[in-house]
Amino acid sequence: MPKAIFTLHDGSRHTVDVGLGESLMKAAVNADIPGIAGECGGSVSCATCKIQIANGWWDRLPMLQELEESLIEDAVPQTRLSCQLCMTTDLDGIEVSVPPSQYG
Amino acid sequence: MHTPAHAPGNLIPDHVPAELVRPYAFVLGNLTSANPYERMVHDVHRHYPPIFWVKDVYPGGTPAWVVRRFADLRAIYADDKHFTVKGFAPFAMLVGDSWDLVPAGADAPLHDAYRALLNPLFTPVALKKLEEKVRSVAERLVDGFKDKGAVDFREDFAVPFPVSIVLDLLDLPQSRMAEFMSWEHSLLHEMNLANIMSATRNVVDMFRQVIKERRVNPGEDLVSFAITAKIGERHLSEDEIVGFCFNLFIGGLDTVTTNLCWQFRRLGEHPDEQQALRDNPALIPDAIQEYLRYFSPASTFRTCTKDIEIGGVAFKPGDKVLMSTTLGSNDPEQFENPEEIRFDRRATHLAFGSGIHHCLGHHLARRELTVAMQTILARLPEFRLGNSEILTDLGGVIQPRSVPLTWQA
Repeated sequence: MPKAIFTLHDGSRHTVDVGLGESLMKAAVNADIPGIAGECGGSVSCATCKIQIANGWWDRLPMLQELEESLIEDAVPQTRLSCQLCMTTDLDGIEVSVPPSQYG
Repeated sequence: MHTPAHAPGNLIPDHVPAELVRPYAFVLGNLTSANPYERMVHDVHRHYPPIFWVKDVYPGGTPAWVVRRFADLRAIYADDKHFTVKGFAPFAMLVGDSWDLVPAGADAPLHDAYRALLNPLFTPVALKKLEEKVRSVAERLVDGFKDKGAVDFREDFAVPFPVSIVLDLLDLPQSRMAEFMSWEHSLLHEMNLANIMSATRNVVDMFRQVIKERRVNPGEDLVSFAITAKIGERHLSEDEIVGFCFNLFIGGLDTVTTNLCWQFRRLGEHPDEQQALRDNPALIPDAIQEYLRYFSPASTFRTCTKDIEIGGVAFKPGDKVLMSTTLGSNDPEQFENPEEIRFDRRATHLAFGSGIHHCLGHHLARRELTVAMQTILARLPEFRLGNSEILTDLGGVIQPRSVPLTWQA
C-alpha cells in the first residue's frame, strides 16, 4: 500500500499506509497521528488538518482550490489541508510535517 | 413489536434494558448553584455506563439515549445511514411552520449543497474584513465598565458582544440589540413552552420582514446574500432563507455568550491562568482551545432511522439521541485527566461538533473569543470572581445566569 510519512512537532516520524484515493487526513486520523484533527470530516470547513509539504513534493499535488486557499492563507508556506490530498501512485512516499497546533 | 420511544408518560420501550435507565441532571429546566464542570460532568463518566436512557432529556420532557464517549459520539456524527439531524431543534414545528434550519437541519446531500454555498462566507479570509469591527465592539463594551470596579460580565459583555456582530452581519441597526437579546433568551433559556413559541414567532416575523425589504433593496449583508444565492440553477426558497436566518440567530449568539461566561468566570477564579495569559498573550488561542474543550456547553439531537447496535445497546428507529458535546469533550477515555485545564493540550474536542455538520461559524466564534480575551486582558487589571451565588442552567446550553467580576478600578 502507498505510504505517507508524517513528521510531528517533537521530531518523531510516523509512516502511515494510505489507500489509493484515500485522503491523507482520513489515513492520519485512522492511524491516530497526533495533531491532525480533521474535525469536519473533510468537508473543507474546519482547517484542522493542516500539514506542511516537504520540498520536492509540492508540484505533484492537485491544484489548490479557492476555498481551501481561503482557509490556509495565514498558515506557514507550503501548507495544505490534508483532507484535500488523496493518495495517488505519484504521491507514494510523500513527506509532510504536522504543525504544533491546528488552532493558532 | 417494540413500544415506540415517543410513547407518552414514563413508559420504557421494550428494547431499553431497565439497568440503562438513569436519572440525569443536564435537562432543560434544571438549575444548580454549583459549577457543573467541577464535578457533575465528571461524575457522569465515573458512575454511568457508556450509553444510558433518560426519560425526560428531549425538549418537552420525552426520552432519549445519552451517549457519553467521545468515540461513540464522533461515530454517530459521521453516520448518516442510521441517524438523521431532522428535528434536532424543533422551533419551526412548535409554531407550525415548515422551514428547517439551514444548514444544521438538513441531511446530506442537500446539507452539502448548503455548505458549499455558505462555507466561503465564514473562512478566516472572508472574516478578515470583520476584524476591526469585532475589536472595536469589544473595546467599546470594556470601556463602558472598566472604571466601575465591578460588572456582571454576562450582561454587560458576553451577551451584547456577539449580538452586536450578528446585527452587523445582517445589516440591522444596533438599536435592535435589546429586542434581539430578549428573544434569544426566551428561545434558549425559557422553560415555558408558550414563551418559547412566542419568541420563535417574533424572530421569524422579524426575518420575514427583513427578507421582504432586502428583496427590494439588496445590500452586502447575509440576508441579501441568501436571497440572491443559487444552488445549481435554483434560488433558495423563502423557507430556506428563513431557516438560514434562524440558524444564524440561534447558532451565532448564545454559544459565544456561553463560552465567554465560562472563560471569564474561570479566569476570575484562577488568577494564575489570568497572569500566564497576560504575560504571554500568544498563549491565548491554545488556552481558548482548551477552555472550549473543558466547558463545551451545547447539546444537539439525532434521531435513529435504522436499527443499529452500539456497544451492545440496541437503537431503534425513532429513538432520540442526545449529542452532548459536554460529555464527549470530557471523556476520560479520550482525554488524560479531563478535569484538568492544560493550555498545551491542543486536543481535538467536540465543542463545535464533528463531521459534516461541524459548526459553520467556528472560525468567527474563535475570532470573537480571541479578540475578547486579548482586549479585556489588555484593558482591565487583574479581576476576581465576586462572591454572590451563581445559578447555572443545565439544559440545552449549560450557561451561568451571571458572572460577577470585581477589580481595583
